Amino acid sequence: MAGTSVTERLLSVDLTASAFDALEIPARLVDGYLGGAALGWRLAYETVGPHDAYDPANPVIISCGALVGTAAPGAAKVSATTRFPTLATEGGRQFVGSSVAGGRDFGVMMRAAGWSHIIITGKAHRPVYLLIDDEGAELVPADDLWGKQDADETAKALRERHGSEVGVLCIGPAGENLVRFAMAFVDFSNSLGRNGLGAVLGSKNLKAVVVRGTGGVEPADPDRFMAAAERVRRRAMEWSGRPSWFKLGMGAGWPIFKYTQYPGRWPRDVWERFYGEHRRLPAVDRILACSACAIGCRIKWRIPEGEYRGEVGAGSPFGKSATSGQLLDVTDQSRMLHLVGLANKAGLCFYTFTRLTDWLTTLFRDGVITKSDTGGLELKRDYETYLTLLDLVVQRKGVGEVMGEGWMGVARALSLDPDDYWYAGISKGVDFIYDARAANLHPLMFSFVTNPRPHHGGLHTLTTGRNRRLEDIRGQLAEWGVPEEALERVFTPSSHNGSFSVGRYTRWMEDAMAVRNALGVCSMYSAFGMESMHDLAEMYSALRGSREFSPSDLLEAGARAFKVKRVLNVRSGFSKEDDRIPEVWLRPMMSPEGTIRTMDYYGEVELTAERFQKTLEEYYDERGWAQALPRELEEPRFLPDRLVPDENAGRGEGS
Amino acid sequence: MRKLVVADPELCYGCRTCEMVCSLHLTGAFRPGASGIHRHTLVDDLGFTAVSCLHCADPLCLRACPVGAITRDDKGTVTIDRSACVGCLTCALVCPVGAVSVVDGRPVKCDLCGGEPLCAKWCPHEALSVVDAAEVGLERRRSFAEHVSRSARQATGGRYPGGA
Repeated sequence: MAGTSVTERLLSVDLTASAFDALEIPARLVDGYLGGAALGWRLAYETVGPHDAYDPANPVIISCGALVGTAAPGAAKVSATTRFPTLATEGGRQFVGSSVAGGRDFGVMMRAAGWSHIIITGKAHRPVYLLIDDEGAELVPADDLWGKQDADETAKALRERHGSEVGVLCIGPAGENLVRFAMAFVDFSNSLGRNGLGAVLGSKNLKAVVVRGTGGVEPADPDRFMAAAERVRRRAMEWSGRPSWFKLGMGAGWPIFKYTQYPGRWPRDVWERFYGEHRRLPAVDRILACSACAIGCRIKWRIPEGEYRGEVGAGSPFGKSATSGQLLDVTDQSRMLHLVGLANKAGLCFYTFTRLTDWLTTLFRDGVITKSDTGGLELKRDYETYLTLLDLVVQRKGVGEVMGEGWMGVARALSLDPDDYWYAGISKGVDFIYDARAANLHPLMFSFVTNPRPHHGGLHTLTTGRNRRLEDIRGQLAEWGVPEEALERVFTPSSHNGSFSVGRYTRWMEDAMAVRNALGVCSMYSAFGMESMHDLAEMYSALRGSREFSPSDLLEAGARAFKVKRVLNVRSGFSKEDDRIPEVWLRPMMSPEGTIRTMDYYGEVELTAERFQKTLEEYYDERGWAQALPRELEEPRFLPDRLVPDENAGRGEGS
Repeated sequence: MRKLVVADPELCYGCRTCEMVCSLHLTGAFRPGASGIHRHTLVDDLGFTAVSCLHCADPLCLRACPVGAITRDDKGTVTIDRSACVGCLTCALVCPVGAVSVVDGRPVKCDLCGGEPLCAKWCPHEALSVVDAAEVGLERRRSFAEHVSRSARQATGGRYPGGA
């Protein structure tokens, strides 16, 4: 029978032995890391060994934010921490990180079933899915799904079998076939994306996790909790962007997006004609919100015209259609929506797929690669070829076998250099979503370099918006509890960064991100100034009742979590030298509207390699890692031996 | 003046806020399974709505309860007296709309929060409204009437069908 405490409980699943175990996480550890992804990283510290991502000993740690399953607005995030299969460097090193996703059901149901974290290790002997409910957990044969049902069909089939309101996390054929940029889907519309989680789950023969329960979360002080939740909700209800988001979801961001994510191929007015708001509106069927969210950023779309008329999908399709549409020279938004739908069903990262496709089809056109490199396929720059390529990648056939290995895999097989790709840049084996030349070097952009993190993953602050007032940016940091002397350092103008130090700012922004991912709250609330660190501290204190947490207490926990994350990757062989600026940021973008160069946040200073290096040095200085990177934690291990994969035993002590 | 909570499926974005605030009110915990209102997912078409007790005029649950734990007050609100309830779950078995859920072996249902339902107050997408039972259908009737007269006017060039 499921209870209603705020205790963080851990479920351990060994797929090889079909064995389950449970543990209550000590309160002091929860207080130190808050919960969610931050605690997930701490769990990774004791369980992730030196193994390849596909080794059965590599654990997948699914964590649910501490405020998820409550009325805290936007508290819906779950994370998955593991060693990802992305080949990050020429030598094939792989980083440890997390993907983060919202959802309506998965996180809520995890808490309702009594779990905050699930550690999955081993490899099932045959395809299975993991079913968790009040009674416990079991592995159910998935032969009827594996190789037969895509991510969408799997989610539907499992809801039909186990109830319409259950949480479902599942993979599609791309994950089954070990495409290194396969994703996992959560509750139809949300993805644990970008890093290749789908392939790690595929390597374990795990098709899905289904969770349901009747328990919940009992706050220590409900009145105090609801007072803080109501404040955040009220700001969300009064937010000026609300009416346009209710029409378009995140697609309402086009007026900013068309500047920050401009690929520089078409003039903007042409882009506007094919992908602007007037094209988006007819495709919106309904808005979808995550659990307890007062806004709603995802949509269910329905293709309004053309050969795919009537086709339905769910997620956030407009931005990626628009950018990749321009890169691939597809002027018909309906065709791009169809392509997004296909990638989603396959459980494939659309960004990486379309950019690899842009790269290879262009190289083929220019004669750099030939049919002998592509398994005999003519890589034309047309829509039919893109459809063929998607299928080949998902099935790992022909040239898709190589493409499924990601940027470094393609580079190795075809003797190419990913740094030659012309849009956004590649870092640690992953393509960026944004290009700093169009977006400017805002802190979010810079932070893609400091850690292997190819997506915002909870990083949004006021600086994601363009040209925010400096005093507002400073005010937000002050509100987080950043010490006054640090504020002085961050907001000292310089010749390399302009009005504030992007490197120093990024340190604090990352710590705040760790807090949000620990609590499971969406960073849109912080991007638009609807939620303060004070609100989060109020809700967390009222929830746990263990002690008072101030904003700076939360921020310190965030810093602790980032240290763990860095230790994990130092152990994996990553150093400061891996934090290289993508070369493409230094090459001017020759767009039809003129030359675009990477500038600082306010467009005052042009970025150079030297200036980037100074920014990086300031980041490490602000972290306190200028001299040496942290290699271990001064914290005792807490997991009992039985919960640590055999080959990893003892690693928690820094051995 | 019987009242009930009505959901508009077009405006329900599936966020479960109603379940969170309701279950906190009823049980002191955020516990979606123990809510008096339930968000429901339409799996085939990815849509949502919410269902709660309709506070029937002639409640089967009240008639069936063997220990008289269910009452209907002068405002028409049907509630379960938890101290009298023996947990036989007859109410859940007979409810024609499935509005009684079972949590820890006990029935849980909407009590309209004593008059101002929290679910409707907190619904961020204005999908839930508290309506007077006497006015159920009034809005739809009004919009249907407007729709008919508008289209009739367009189709007949101003003359109403059946009219002069």
